[in-house]
Amino acid sequence: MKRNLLTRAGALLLVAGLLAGCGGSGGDTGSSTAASQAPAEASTAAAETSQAQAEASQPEETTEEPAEQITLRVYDWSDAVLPYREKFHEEFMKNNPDIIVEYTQLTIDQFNSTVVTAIASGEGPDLFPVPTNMNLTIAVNENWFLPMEDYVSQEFIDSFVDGILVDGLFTLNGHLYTVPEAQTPPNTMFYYNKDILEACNLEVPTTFEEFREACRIVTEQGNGEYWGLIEGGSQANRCDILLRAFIQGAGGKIANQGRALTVDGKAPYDTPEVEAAVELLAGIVEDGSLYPDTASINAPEARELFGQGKAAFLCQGIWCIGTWGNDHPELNYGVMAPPKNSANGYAAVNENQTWMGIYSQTKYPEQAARYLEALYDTENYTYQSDVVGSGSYVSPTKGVNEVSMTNPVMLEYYDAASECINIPLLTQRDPVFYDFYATVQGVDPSFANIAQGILSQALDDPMDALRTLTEAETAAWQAACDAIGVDFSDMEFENWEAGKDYTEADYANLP
Amino acid sequence: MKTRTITTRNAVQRQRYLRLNAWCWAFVIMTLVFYVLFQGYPIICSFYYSLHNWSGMTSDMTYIGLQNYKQLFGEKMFWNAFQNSFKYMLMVVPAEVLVSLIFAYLLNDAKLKGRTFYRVCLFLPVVITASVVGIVMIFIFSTQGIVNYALVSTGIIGKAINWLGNAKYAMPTVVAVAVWKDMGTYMIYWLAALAAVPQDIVEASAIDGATKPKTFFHVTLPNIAPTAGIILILCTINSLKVFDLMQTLTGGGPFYSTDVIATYVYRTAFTSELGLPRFGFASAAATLFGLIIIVLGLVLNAIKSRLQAMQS
Repeated sequence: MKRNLLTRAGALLLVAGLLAGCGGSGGDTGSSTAASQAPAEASTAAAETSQAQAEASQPEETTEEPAEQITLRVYDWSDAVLPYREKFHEEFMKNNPDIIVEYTQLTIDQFNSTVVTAIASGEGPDLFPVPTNMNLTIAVNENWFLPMEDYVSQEFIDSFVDGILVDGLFTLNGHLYTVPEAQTPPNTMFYYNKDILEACNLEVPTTFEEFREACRIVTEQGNGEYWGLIEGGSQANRCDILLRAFIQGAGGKIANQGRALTVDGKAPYDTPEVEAAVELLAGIVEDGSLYPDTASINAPEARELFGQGKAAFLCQGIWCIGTWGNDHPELNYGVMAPPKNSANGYAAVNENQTWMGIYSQTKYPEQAARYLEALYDTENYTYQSDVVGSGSYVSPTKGVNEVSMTNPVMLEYYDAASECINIPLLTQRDPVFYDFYATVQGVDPSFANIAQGILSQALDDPMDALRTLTEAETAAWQAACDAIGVDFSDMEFENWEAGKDYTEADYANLP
Repeated sequence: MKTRTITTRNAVQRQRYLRLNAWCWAFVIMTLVFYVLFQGYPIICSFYYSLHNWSGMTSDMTYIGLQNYKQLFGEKMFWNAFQNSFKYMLMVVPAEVLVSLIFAYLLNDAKLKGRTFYRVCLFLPVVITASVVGIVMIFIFSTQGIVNYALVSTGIIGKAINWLGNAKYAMPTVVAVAVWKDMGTYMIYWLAALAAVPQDIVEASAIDGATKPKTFFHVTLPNIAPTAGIILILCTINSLKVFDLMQTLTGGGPFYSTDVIATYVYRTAFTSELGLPRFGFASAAATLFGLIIIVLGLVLNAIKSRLQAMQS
């Protein structure tokens, strides 16, 4: 009986311990003090919300009680700059005692599904970015955002880098709806580990052959310690970006991820350049030069493993620099342009991305505007210089990068990226193509899924899958063009030569 | 006089019956309200959305009748997910039912010391959140994980395998994790059934010289057969609805090799590489699959009734 009791008590303890373990993160969040504490998980966001509310209801002990204290709710997914954002929130709340910032950070997927339901129930956050799977036109048509001009100063609008507030991304019908988080440099640059290349007696590769060979040698000499290439293969978008980088390196005419253009009247997924890129990627996998867990890790994990010296090459964006600076200051790495396979090979400039706007139903538009103005204020706040100085982002605010961009790897990244060219954009040709992106129906398996299939060796004949995709995408794009009343042939840029910068003059000369 | 007595008795009986009914409703009403709110209403909404072309993100919803269903029949990836769902079910159900029965039978032995402790240990995975299990298992089954370490160091395999990142091994790996995680629930059902087996028959068979396997197959098994039917139904339906474990372990990959209906619906409803997601289309996929599960449930229920009839 006694033993039975003991066994039960032990079991109870085990269960209790387990449950406590599972609930650990919530407890941590609860014990944190800043209202702006940003949780990584949606579940902890709820805990944070209640904590912020609790704090809001606590009486101020020392300072003067402001007339009315409000809670400004801000949602986004900017995990790379979290420490600087938290610091900014502290400064902002100190300077604005009438505002409590309740900052909720989600992953992009969580954000995309959460914000829609929040808005549908009339409980949208006061400030939030346009979800990545929709565009500004739709968001404005759905009455999600307020025109900002009534609340922000002209000085604030003028503080952005010239030409960055593009129509369709930030402005619409003459109104400013959103602001950019950062300037978007190309996200297809390759990081390489200098120590590994040196240990293997290798030069920085520039061609497909050199790149594959370098990956092979590194893996061979790494002998299970490190491999040639690593990628966040569980994220289809990362596989998509990697394969596109190789296609562009082979001189293939292809749009950047999430964008479209046709070549010879069809989706450009079965061209000889695509074949060359597929051959390279499949060859690296076949050689065993890909980090073995690539298919089941995500981009942050790949970034971390590269930081630990597990691979010689990684294709990711500029945001890695700040993270490695904090987590792996000993990492000796450099930045290179993607390898090329032809004289027409190129790397493409990234389109700037829309970001945050003020919720149309907010009760506090004036306070929300004050938050935005402070976020980009370089006189009273250090947020912009902090994110640039850390190597996390390139600021969209005038004068910041020139002074604060001192991180040598960031400068190297910029140097490598300076070779990137502008490729033609449908939306720049005609903003009606924003409707195209809202109308077109995705094809399954997509280009990204096929790229993922190549990395995981799940496809016997990737080119066959890409040929099927070409037919399906062409039909889907044609249907979308018909639906919005645009000529399908307008998706073709006949005057674009692969590898050559596509300029304003080229748009003007289009037939 | 006699008539009045009968009338009074009827009235009392009726009153008692009504009171009993009221109590039954009182207990059921909360569940019913929650069911209607959180199960019934979403099901109706899902069917309604399935008749529309809608992204789920905007207010413009176009009625298209059965167009989504028509398109669904020609959708290769839907049928791949459909096939995977049943493949998963066929792998998981026998494994879970058998393994849980074996453990339940072993742990039902009153002579076994520390059986409560073992029961708790086997039940523990059930209370762990599936997403936590998913994250931990990714590490365990990675090329640097403990499974590969054990297999390589004992010479069972020559080279580490990325169990969850390889299209050939991903599904069996998820099945193994699912069996480990959910087996405890079914073990409890089996234990309840085993406890109800009349001990006098078991003892009588032992006196008659029946061996343990003979006693199990000829005495115990026929007695627990009705519970087997319930376990089979629950296990089948749960395996066809699998989402959390699949989403956290593989996300349906690599290249759709573990893409089941739930991951297909989630992907179609909430994500899109180009263009907006397709909530209406995803709703049609969910509705169609739901109907298939209902039919399957009815068939299994009929089998269970047959088993019960056989037993009686």
